[in-house]
Amino acid sequence: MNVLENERVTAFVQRSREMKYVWIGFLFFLLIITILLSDFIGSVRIPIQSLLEIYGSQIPFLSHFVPHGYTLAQEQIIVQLREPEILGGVVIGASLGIGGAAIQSIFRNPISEPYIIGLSSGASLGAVASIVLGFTIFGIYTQQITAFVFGLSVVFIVYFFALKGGKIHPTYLLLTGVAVSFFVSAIVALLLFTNINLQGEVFFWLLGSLENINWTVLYPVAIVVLITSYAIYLQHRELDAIQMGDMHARSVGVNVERTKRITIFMVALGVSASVSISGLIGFVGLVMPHLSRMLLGGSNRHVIPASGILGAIFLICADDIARGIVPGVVIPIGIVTGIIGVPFLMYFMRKLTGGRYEG
Amino acid sequence: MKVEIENVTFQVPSFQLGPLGFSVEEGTITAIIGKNGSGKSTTLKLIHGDLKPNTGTVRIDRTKVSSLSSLKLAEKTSFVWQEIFSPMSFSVRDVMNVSGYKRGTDENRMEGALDKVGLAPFIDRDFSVLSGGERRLVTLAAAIYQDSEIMIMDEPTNFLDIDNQILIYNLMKGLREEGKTIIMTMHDLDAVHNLADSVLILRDGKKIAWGDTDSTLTLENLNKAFNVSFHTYNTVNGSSFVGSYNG
Repeated sequence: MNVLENERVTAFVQRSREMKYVWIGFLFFLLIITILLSDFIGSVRIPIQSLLEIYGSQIPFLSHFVPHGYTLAQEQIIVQLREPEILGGVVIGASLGIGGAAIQSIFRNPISEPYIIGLSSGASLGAVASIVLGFTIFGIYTQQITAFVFGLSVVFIVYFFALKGGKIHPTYLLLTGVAVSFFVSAIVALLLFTNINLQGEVFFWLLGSLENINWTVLYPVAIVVLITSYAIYLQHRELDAIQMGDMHARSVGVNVERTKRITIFMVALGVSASVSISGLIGFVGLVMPHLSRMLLGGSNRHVIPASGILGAIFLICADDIARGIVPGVVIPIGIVTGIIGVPFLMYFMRKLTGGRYEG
Repeated sequence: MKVEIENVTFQVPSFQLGPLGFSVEEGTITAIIGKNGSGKSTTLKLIHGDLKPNTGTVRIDRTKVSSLSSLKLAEKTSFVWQEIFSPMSFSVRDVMNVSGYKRGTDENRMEGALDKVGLAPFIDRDFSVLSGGERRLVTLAAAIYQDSEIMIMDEPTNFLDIDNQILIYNLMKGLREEGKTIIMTMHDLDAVHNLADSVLILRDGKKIAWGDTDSTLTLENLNKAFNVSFHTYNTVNGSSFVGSYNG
């Protein structure tokens, strides 16, 4: 990148950062458009007229005035299949994006993400163990509930192992998270190794999918994600301060350990709930906060909501590709986020950072 | 606001500090000097309550520092750290906002604080692309913006060129006139001599001397603290200065 181009990119980044709320509004508008367009994508083609009528029929009071020119099958496909899957993408993408922004702030580390504190390995163990050992304790939702409980439990184990003298040191927490994750992943590998015939079902969970999300599992997860995301947003000033160093944060008045405790707990709760219904979806929690910072600057006041919206948009688009790229076949979404997402990230890194990561 | 350090000791396996006892008066500048590793930064962290002493107490405004909440402590003290982190994509404004955590954002005061260090036009610049010296000036402006009665500074003129060092010295004098209490570590003995009202000299964690600058900053104490020979040199115009290197 030559000097002139560098200056042009820097000027663009500067201008975009001055219009923070316009950007967030635009991203939100883009999210709504993405949701509506994604309802068109699928093996059955549904005309726009029918789609709009189905939307109208779901709005209280308005439903009486909307013509019902669609078939029952079309309504079933939109309301029972596509809507929970797309809104599941919104909820899961948002929780991963917001969780990523919060965790990167606590660790002051741009390559950390929610999974680094043991969430993914714990949830994997829960899901795989429930399949392999045939748990039925919570009926048809046993897999989701065990994934949630194990994900949360492993984060608590990591947290308490990393606690020294009542304080959490970011590097120690990071190393403990990586070590415990390796240990738990080894148990998952052992379960897979000894039960080869179950690999197909398990792999789909490990690579992530929005396909099996229905309203019954989406409602409670959406409520958990909404509450935890708001709780994380309320910590945005404290998280900004922690990025300047724990001691600096304390010297400006932040209760550092309480902030870390609340944030880790909220991220663990929100992301465990999300991955319990989607399986593991990588990349979103790592990259969306960076994209938000490139567009809006580093303050978590803007990074947290923007990461949530971008995470949602990205995951819906990835799901559209996963459903649409090979007719009749749904590819695990984790494969799509990796293959499409990484080149996308590399492009933005080169274009928007203006060489800041090069020095 | 008075700062009282009473019989404080601090011990880790490889280092022992103290016992230290001294009292810093309101509206004064106190300098802590000594070799690298003599315990200067540790003393500042003990005063600020970041480290817990093994024995003794630190009191700020007659309250034990260990019993102060983070918010109360931030109201009474600000800290200019030696190490400067560069948060991801933060602008100068974002860094300043962090120091306004307690009192909330006040654009005029923020610009005023930056103006004191000559960086008001930098308010929307990316903090990570500033030079080391500019970042140091921003952190000093942030401490001024925090507007606490006591300012603790760990080598505040690190990374600064000579004209910015002088800017900071004059800024400190101005803050003292406003009634602020400054406790700092510093290596530049000329500046310490000209600025500080009182000096604490440390060596290997032990107090060599404490008292007003003129009676403490003596050749004998300096020779003891730094293990090199200090001399008084006379310049051609008749003034004298203390130095340790004569080529």
